[in-house]
Amino acid sequence: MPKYAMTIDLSRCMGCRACMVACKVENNTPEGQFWMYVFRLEEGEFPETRLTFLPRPCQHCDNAPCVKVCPVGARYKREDGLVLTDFQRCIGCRYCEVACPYGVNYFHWQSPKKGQYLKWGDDAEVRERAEREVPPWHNPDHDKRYGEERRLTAGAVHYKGVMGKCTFCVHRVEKGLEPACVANCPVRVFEFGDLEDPNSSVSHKLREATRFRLLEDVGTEPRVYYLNGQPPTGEHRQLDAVKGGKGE
Amino acid sequence: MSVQSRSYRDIGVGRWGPLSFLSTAVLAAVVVVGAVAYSRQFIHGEIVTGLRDWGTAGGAPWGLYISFVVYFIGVSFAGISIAALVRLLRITALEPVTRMAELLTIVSLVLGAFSVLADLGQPLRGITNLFRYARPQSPFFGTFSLVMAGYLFASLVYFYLAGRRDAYLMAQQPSRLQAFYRWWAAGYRDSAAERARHERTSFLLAVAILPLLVTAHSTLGLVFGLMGGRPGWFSALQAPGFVVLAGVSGLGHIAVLAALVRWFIPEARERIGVPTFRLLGIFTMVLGMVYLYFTLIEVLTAGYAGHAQEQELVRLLLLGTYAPYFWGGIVALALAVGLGLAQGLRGRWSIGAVVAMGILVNIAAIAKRLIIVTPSLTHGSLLPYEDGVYVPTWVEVAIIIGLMSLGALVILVFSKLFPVVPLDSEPTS
Amino acid sequence: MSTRAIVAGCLALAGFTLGMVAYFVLAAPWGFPPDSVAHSNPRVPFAPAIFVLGVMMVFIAAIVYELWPGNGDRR
Repeated sequence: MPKYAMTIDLSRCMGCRACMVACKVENNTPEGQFWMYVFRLEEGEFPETRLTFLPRPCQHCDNAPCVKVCPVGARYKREDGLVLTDFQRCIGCRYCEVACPYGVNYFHWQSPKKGQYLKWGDDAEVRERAEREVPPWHNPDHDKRYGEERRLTAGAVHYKGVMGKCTFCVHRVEKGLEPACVANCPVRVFEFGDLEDPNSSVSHKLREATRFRLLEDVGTEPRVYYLNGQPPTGEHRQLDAVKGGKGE
Repeated sequence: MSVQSRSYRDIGVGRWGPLSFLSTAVLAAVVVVGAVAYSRQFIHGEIVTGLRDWGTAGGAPWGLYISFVVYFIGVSFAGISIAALVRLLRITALEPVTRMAELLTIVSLVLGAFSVLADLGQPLRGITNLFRYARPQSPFFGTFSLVMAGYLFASLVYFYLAGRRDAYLMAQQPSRLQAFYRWWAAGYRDSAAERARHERTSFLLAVAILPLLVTAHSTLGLVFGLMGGRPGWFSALQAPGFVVLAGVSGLGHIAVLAALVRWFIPEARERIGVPTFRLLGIFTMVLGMVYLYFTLIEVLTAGYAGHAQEQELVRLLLLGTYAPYFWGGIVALALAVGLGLAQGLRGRWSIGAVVAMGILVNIAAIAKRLIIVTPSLTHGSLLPYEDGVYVPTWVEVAIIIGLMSLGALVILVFSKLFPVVPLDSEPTS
Repeated sequence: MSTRAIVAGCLALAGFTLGMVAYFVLAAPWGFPPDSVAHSNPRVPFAPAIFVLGVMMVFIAAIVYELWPGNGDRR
């Protein structure tokens, strides 16, 4: 049984946020929801300011507070380490969201909107111009059941009233692919793989670099390791905060 | 209704005057508005509320609904505390208010359940999936099972058994509800053996319900208190604080309800007198003092040595955005305690003052529930997100007010169908 | 002890036991932290409903005790 983890090399991250876009396209997350988010942080007073960037996916914690508090077991931890949400069982209580210290949970406050990303197939003009090459608006991988447990866990915006968050792209991992953020980063900030395999990319990275995990003293035991950088402190301020999720 | 209203036995049953009709109509109309608001939410999703994700989206995912879940369940403390005080400590001056206290418990637990359903993104699924999959390891399990199923059911049983004698007495007179009274009485004959049996049963029931009560309110507190990653929530004092504030708000509610019953039902005035209100006032005051003490310790601990976020939250409560709610609640509670002390020290209790205490402590309880839930979500993040904002919409407010009207409506209608003050209870005026 | 007391007592005890069994054994397996899919499913479907039933049985015993037919029991 693999033990999946992710490493994030902060010395490589330039804050381009391509990973955020890739995640959004891959998982079809609604407007204002960022399963992958990148903090652009500034510390110090002008002119002695320093910029750092901090990608923040779900940490897929070993002692995940969200898993502990889910009243119906919709949020669960798999043996391979992924923390997933069974959106068929989720009752929308949002307890996982308030329990998570990282803020990675996003609730579907409304039904998928018309004009949601990639709904190009509905548009006559797009169909006409693209001839037969119209991208599917809805990734069919999101409707499949994954894992031995056969639960519906992939993708966003299936319907209102349920919770969603980064799944480490379970629908890609099950096919042997890397998560979308990992595959699309132009400077290879992310590595994803099996901690138990000494030859995996994550094992290599963890051997060669100093590392920390976010909010370690809260006791969540995250599976995301940050390399070659420093944790954010109270001195850091966000720049270019991507606010959202307010709108109708 | 054919039952005449002059004999003391009737205690308001069957008396539908213009005021009763008007009250019923107004309450029902408000309930309908609440239902319409809920239908909007059911159809469009919770986007129609002011709730939003915390973190990047800068909102609060829990707000008015959850605050009132806690408030309503807190008020439900009333019934069993009165029952326990009467049965276990033999405090007979509280006997006349036992039935309305138990009724208040039942009604407020149902309102609490409805508030939970109002908050769920998938309420219908919530009902089935909770019965099917609920995990005891989640603090919500206690709320769902012990509070709703255990405590509510136990209170219904207590209420039913305690009402049998009055049902038997009411069934003696011909009336439209005679069949209902006979059903409730279920063969009660008012023999000495039956009365003794009921004494034993209600004693044991009170003993059994008390741990349920403490567990139920504690697990509700643990829903918040066990959140290690939530500054402002993670505290050993949450569970005890919930239990104490539940007591305060429940007893305060009984005082208000008892005064309303006295006002609307003249026959009740000789049954519920100053000695009853004195006791309600004393217990409310003592629990209120305990709660003020808890608040002081909480604020002191977080302010003196909490992490940066906890200290920031204390600053927000005392001086910042949430200060009006915090201080409003504290002042209301302190005023209530002060009123209690003033009456106690002078040795003269007045019904009006105790009712004022009841209103004040409930205002304090609502304010406190609001500032337990929301500030930690908008301002208590451990990662450098920006601060959030939460403003409830009309939908949320309408649903909550609709629920309160529903509760008032049920109590009002019940009082027309069944004596809300136990018949033959010793007059305490 | 009268019949009513025995029946009510047994009902209460059975309810309590059912509740305890449902809570500790039939519901989702206890393990901290939860680290497998098994921790998210009850061992027996509707185990929470069984727990609630057990709690209710304890209180139904009170109704049984009072409503059991027969009036002149030994005390």
